[in-house]
Amino acid sequence: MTTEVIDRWRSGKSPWGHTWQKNMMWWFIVTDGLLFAGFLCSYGFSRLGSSNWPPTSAYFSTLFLTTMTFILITSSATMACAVGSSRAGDRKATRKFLLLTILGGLAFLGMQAFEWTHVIAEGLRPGVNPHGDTLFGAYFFIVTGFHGTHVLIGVLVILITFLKRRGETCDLNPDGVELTGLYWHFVDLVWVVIFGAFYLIGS
Amino acid sequence: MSEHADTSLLLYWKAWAALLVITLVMAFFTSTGVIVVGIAAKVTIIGAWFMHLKQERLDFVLYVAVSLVFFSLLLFGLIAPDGAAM
Repeated sequence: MTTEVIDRWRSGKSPWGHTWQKNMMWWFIVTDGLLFAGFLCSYGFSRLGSSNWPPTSAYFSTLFLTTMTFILITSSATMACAVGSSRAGDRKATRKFLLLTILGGLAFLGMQAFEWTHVIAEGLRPGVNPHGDTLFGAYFFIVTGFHGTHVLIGVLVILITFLKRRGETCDLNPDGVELTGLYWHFVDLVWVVIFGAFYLIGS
Repeated sequence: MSEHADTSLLLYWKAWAALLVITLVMAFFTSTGVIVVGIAAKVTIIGAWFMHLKQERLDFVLYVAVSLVFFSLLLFGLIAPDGAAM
C-alpha cells in the first residue's frame, strides 16, 4: 500500500487521477474554506462571550435571506448543469446554463447590496451597533463582505468562461468549465454555512 | 444532448430540490439542532453531487473532508469553551 502511494506521487502524474489544475483548485478551496472557518469560529467565540449580542431578526428578514439562499442554490444547480452539458459536448446548453448562473450571481449581489444599504441606514457600522454588541457589525461586514467579494469574482470568472464559449472556433474543453463550477459551488457552500451559522442560529 | 447527459442533469435538479426543502425547514424551524443538521446535510449534497466528490477516489474525499471539517470543528472546539466562560 505504502509503495503504491509513493509510486503514484513519484510518477509525475496527478496522484488522485485528475488534472493538476483540478488539484490546485481543490487546494485553494480547502485553504479558502479554512479561512472562512476561522472567521466563523471567531464569530462564535465572540457571540458566546457576549451578554448583549443582538438577535439577527433586529436587522434581517428571514424571508429575504431565504430568497437570497434560493437564488444562490439555483445558480449552483445551473452551474452544475453547465458542467454536465459541457462534458456531453453540448455547446449551446453550456452557454445557456452559464448565462443563467451569471444572472443568478448578479441577482444575489443586488440583494446583498440592498441588505447592506438597509442595515447601514439602520445605523449598523463595523464599530457601531444600536441594538447591542459593537462586534456584531464588524463580523457582519467582514463575513458577508468577504463572501460577496467571492461571488463577484465568481461572476467575473463565469463571464470569462461564457465569453470564451462564444467563439465558434473555440475548443469545447470541459475542464475549464468544471474548474469554474468548482469555485462557484464552493461559494454556494460557504453561503449555506453563513446562512445557518450567522443568520439563523439565535435569530 | 445525449440520454446520459439528460439523466445527469436530472440528478442535479433533484439535488437542488433537496437543498431547497432543507433550506425551508431550516428557516421555519430555527432551533440550533435543526440548523446544524441542515447545514451538514446541505454541505454534503453540494460536495457530493454538485462538486462531484461522489465520483472521486476515497483518499481524495478524505483529504478534503478531514482538512475542512475536522480542522474547523477542532478550531471551534478549542476556543468555544473560553468564549462561553467569559
